[in-house]
Amino acid sequence: MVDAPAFDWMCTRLEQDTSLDRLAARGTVRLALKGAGLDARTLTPDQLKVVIDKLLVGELTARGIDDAAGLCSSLLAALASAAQGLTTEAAGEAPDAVFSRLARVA
Amino acid sequence: MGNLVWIGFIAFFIVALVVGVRVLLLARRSRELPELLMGVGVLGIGPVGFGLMVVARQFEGSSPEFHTLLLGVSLFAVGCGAFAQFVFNWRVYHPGSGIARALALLAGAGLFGTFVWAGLAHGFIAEDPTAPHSLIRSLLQISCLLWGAGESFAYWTKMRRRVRLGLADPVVSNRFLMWAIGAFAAGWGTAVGLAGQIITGAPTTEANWVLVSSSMHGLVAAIAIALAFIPPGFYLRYIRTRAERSNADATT
Repeated sequence: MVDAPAFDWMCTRLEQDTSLDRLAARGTVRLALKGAGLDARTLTPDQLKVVIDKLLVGELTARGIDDAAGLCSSLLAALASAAQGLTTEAAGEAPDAVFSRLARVA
Repeated sequence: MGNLVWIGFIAFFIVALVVGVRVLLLARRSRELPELLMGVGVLGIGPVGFGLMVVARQFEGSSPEFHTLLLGVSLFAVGCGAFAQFVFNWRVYHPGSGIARALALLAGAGLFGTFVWAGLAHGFIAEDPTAPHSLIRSLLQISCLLWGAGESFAYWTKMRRRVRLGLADPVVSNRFLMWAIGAFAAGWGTAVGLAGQIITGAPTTEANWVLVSSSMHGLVAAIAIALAFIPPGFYLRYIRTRAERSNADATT
């Protein structure tokens, strides 16, 4: 399975807007996703928004990126306009969608 | 004490019957495969497979043919249930994985093969647990449950992080943990029971410590599966309140 467009978008933006190279940018985003319990292959724009808002600042600060908070604010603004193009058809149903149904009354 | 030992078995039988039927009714309405697999898995391994095995014992002396027929149906139900659990693990957790698909299909072939083997070997009469076909079937049954428990536990560790960020429902997250505990208790209980049968050389019902162990594992499985799929209102309120409190603590 390939990574979700939202993940690729995030990594590309970090490469452009910071001193991080491709490998470091992707690693940083993957660490933030791991902290959120999310997967790069199924990442949605809505999930990415929460990751940028709540976790990415810490990861960028830890890597010595100046004004991480300001960068995250600009990333959130950019994501808002790019989000529509980053949604994809899910390859399959996520396990949490299955488990959310299993206790429903028939 | 003698009758108390059966509490775990009875609890497991009732909970698995209720959950299995509810999930199958849900599958009929939703037309979704995971519900069907979970329903067949829980009913096949639990009340139908295990239940018929217990009923079959009552006819062992009085009606050997009926006894054998019930044992055959029971083994078939267990095989179907275990195969459904294997396919559930593949389709729900690793739908794109060739290895998971191969494992599930190989297990299905193994379960079908051991069923035919048991029929040809002795016509399904009460079998020696160390006979190769019996051992393979038991190990496959244990594997499907422990694999499911492991997957569910691993997914729960992700879900609890999502809950903290408001990205997931705490009740659904808890369902993964409860299913992990329930499937593990059922799988581990079966493994201990099998080991006990092999060590003592006696059926589960004739070795006291094996009987108590199996019953207690059944009780744990029953409680966990009930909390996962038919949770009472107070438990749901407790899970939601605990998650809200935990999120509030994290933000302050």
